Amino acid sequence: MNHKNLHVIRMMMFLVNFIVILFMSIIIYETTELICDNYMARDFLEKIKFIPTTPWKVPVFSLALLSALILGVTIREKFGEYIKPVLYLFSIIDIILCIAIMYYLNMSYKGVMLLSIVNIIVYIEGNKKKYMFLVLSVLVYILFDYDIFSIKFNLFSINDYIQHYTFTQRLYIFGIRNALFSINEVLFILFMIIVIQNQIDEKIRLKDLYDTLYQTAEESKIANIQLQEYSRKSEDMVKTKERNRLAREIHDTIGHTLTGIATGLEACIEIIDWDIKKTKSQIIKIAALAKEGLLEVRRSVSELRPDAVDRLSLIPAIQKLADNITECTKTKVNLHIEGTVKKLWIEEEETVYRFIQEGITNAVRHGKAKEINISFQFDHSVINIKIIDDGIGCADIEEGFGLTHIREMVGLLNGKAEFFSQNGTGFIMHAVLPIRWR
Amino acid sequence: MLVMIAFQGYQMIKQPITLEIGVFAGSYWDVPIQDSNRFFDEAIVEFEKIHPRVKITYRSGTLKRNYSEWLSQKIIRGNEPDLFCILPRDFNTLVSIGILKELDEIMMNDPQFDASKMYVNAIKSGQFQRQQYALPSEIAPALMFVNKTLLTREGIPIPKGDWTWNDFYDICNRVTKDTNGDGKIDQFGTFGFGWQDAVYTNGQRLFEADGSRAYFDSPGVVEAVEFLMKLDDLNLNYKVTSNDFDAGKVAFRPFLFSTYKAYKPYPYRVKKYGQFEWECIKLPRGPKGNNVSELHSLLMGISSRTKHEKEAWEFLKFLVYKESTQTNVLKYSYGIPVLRYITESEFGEKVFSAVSPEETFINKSLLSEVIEQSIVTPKFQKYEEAVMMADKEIFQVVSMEKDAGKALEDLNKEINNFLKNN
Repeated sequence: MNHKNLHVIRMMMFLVNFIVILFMSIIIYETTELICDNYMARDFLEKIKFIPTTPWKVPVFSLALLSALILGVTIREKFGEYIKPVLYLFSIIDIILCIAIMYYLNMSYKGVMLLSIVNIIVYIEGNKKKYMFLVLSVLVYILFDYDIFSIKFNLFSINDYIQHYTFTQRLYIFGIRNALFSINEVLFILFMIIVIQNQIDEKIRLKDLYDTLYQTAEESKIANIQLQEYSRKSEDMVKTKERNRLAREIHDTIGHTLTGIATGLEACIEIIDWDIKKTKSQIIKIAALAKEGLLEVRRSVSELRPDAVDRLSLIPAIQKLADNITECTKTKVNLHIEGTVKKLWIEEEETVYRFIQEGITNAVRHGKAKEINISFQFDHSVINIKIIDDGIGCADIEEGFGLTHIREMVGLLNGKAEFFSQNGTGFIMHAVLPIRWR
Repeated sequence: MLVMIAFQGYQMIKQPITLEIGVFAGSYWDVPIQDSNRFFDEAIVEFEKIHPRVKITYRSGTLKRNYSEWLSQKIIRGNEPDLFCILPRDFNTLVSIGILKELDEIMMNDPQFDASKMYVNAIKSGQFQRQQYALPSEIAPALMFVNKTLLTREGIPIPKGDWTWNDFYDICNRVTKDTNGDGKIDQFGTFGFGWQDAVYTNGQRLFEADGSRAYFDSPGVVEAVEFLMKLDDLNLNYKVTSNDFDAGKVAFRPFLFSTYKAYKPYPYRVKKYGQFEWECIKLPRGPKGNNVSELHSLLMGISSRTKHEKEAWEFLKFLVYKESTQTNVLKYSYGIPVLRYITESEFGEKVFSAVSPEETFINKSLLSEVIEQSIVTPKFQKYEEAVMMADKEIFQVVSMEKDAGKALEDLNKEINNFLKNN
C-alpha cells in the first residue's frame, strides 16, 4: 500500500516539475515577446548579467531532458531486476540530467534535483552506496544554486524577466512560481515521511519478530530444564524398578532353592538316625539342588534371567520344577495338562513359570503341604492355571512380597490372579491369562 | 585516388554555410553616404568567390539609431547574426553579458593574421579588460575644425600642430565679440570642446582600466574643468549651438576625421559648410598633456553562440585585415583603415590629398601619428553610465560656476560608490 503511495507521489513530482518547466518557459517566451514589442531589448540587456537562453530552447531541451529522466524511471520500473548492476549508472545519469535541466532553466530552479534524490532512495540498495549518492545529490542541490553560482560566474536570472512586469503582475507570477516550488517540496517531504514511516514499521515488525523469537527461546530453555528433570526422575524410576526386579529375582531364585535345601535338610535330620543310606542319597540330591541354585544365582547375576524357561519350553521346565520338588522334599507335585499346549510369548511363559514356582514355594514353605496339584487348561484364547495344595492354609491371606509380585506380573499381561484359602483346607491359587497368538 | 574521391564526396555532402552579418544602413560616422552597404557588398562578393561554400546574408535597412534595439532583440530571441557591427555604447554591455566571442586565441592561432600590421590603438579599441572581443574595420580620431575665413578676417594665423590651451584660449578671447554692434556678442571662440576633450588633452585618465575606481578628483582633471569654465566665461551666458558654427560664427569645433573627409569634398562641402573655408588641426594640449584626442572605431564582433566560428572569423579577418577590403574603406567610407600600411600607401596619400587639395596639413603621417597618440577609452560595464553621471555634474559645475575642486571631489566619491556597488 505504501509502495503504491510512494509511486503516486513520485509521478506527481514529475508532473509538478513538468508544470514548473512549462510555466518558466512560458514566462521566458512571453516576456521576450513583450520586451521586443515594446522596443525594450536594449534596456533589458543592460539589466541582465548574462545572455538569456534562446526562448524556444528552454522548453524543448528541458522537457526533453525531463522525458529522458522519466524514461529512465520507466526502464528501471520495468526491468529493475535485470539491470541491477547499472542502477548506479542510472543514478549518475539522473544527476547529470537534472544538472542539464537546471542549466537550461538558468539555475533558477533546482527543485528538479529532488527527483534525482527520490530515485536514489527508491533504487539504490545498500546503505553506504545510498548515502554516497545522496550526499552527491544534496551537494549538487546546495551548490547548483543561482545565488551561489552567480558569485563566480555571470548567469542569467529568470528574475530579470519577471522584473519586466508591473508590480501586480509580478506578485502573481512569483505567487504561482513559489506555489509550484512549494508543491514540489511538499511532495518530496511527503515522500520522505512515507519512506521513514515504512522504515519505522519495518523496525517495529522486526522487533516483534525478535521478541517472539526470544520468548520461544526462553520457553524452550525452560522445557529443556524440565526435560532434564524428567530424565533424571525417570532414571531414578528405572533404578527403583530395577531394584524391585532384583529383589524379585533374588526372592524367586535363591529363595526358592534355599527353601528346597532347608526342607530337604529337615527331612535328612529326621531320617539320618535310622536310614543312613537314604539320608545320604537325600543329601546328594540336596547338594545338586544347591549347585543348581548356585548356578541360577550366577545366571541371575549375569543375565538376570531364569534358566529353565530359557533353555526349555514352558511345560518341560515346569515338569522339571515339579520333579525337583518331589525328589528333594516330602511334598509330591502333580502336573495335569488339558487342551492343546500352545507356544507362548516369552513374557507369558515367564509369568506362568513364576506363578507356579511361587505356588509350589508357598505350599512347601508355609503350607507344609504333602501334595500339590497343578493344572493347566489351554483354552481358545486364555490359559487357566490352578495350584491346589493340601497344606495348613490360612484364615486370612496376608499377601507378602511374593504374592503381590505375582499378581502384578499377571496384571501386566491383562490377566487375573486369585488366591483362596481356609484354615486347614490348603491353599488355592488361580490365574487366568489371555493368550496372544503368535 | 580513393582518398580524393572520398574527399570530394565529403565536400559534396557538406551543406553550404550561411553566415549572417549584422550591419546598419547609413554611415557609422553620421555623415551622408551614397551607398552605405557598398563596403560590405563588395567584401561579401569577394569572400564568396574565395569560399564558395559560404553564403553571407544581412538585413539591410536597419537605421543606426534602431540598430542597438534590433541587435538586442535578436540576442534575447537567440538568433543574433554570426558577426555583427557594435556601436560604442553597446560594446561594454555586450561583452559583459558574454555574447561576444573572445578573439585572442583565434588571432594567436591564425598564422595569416599579424596584429602588428594594425594600429595598436585600433586593436585596443576592441579590448575589454585586456581581452580582445572585437576588431575595428575602420577608425577615426577627433580633430579640431578651424574656421579659416573667420581667423583670416581677425588676422590670426592658423595654429600649428602643437598648440596649447593658452593659444586656444587667446584666440577664443580675441574672436569672441559683437560684430554687428547690437550689444550682444555674435562671434565665438569654440563650440563642442567638451570636458573629456579637455581631460584627455591634459594627459589625464578618468578611470582605472578595469573600472575599479575613478580619478575625477585628480588635479589634472580639476584643471581641465576649470579651463572649460574659463572658456565658457568668454561667452557671457550665451549658449553656442551647432547652428552658430554652421553659420560661420565659431572659430573652433572638434569633429571626427570622418566628418572632415565627408564634408571637405564637393558636393557636401557646399551643402553644409559652404559659407566659409575651414581646415583641421590637432586638439590643443593642456599644461600636463599632449595634442591628443579620443579614437572612435567601428567595431565588429563574433557571436559567442555562432555555429560557424571559423567562417565568421575568416570573414571578420577579410573585413579588417584584407588589403582590398581595407582599401575600400578609403574608397567608400569616411573612416581610416586600421591597417597602417594602407593608410600610409600611395593610394592613401592620393585619397587624402584629394580630400584637401590645397592644404598639406592632412597627410598620411600626421594621421598615423594622431591615431597612435589617440586615447582609447577604458572598457568596463559601467563606463557609459559613469560618464553620463559625470557629464551631468560637470555641465552643472561649468554652467553654474561651482567650485570645481569641491564638486569633482564629491563627484568622484559618488562615481566610486557607483562603481563598487551593485
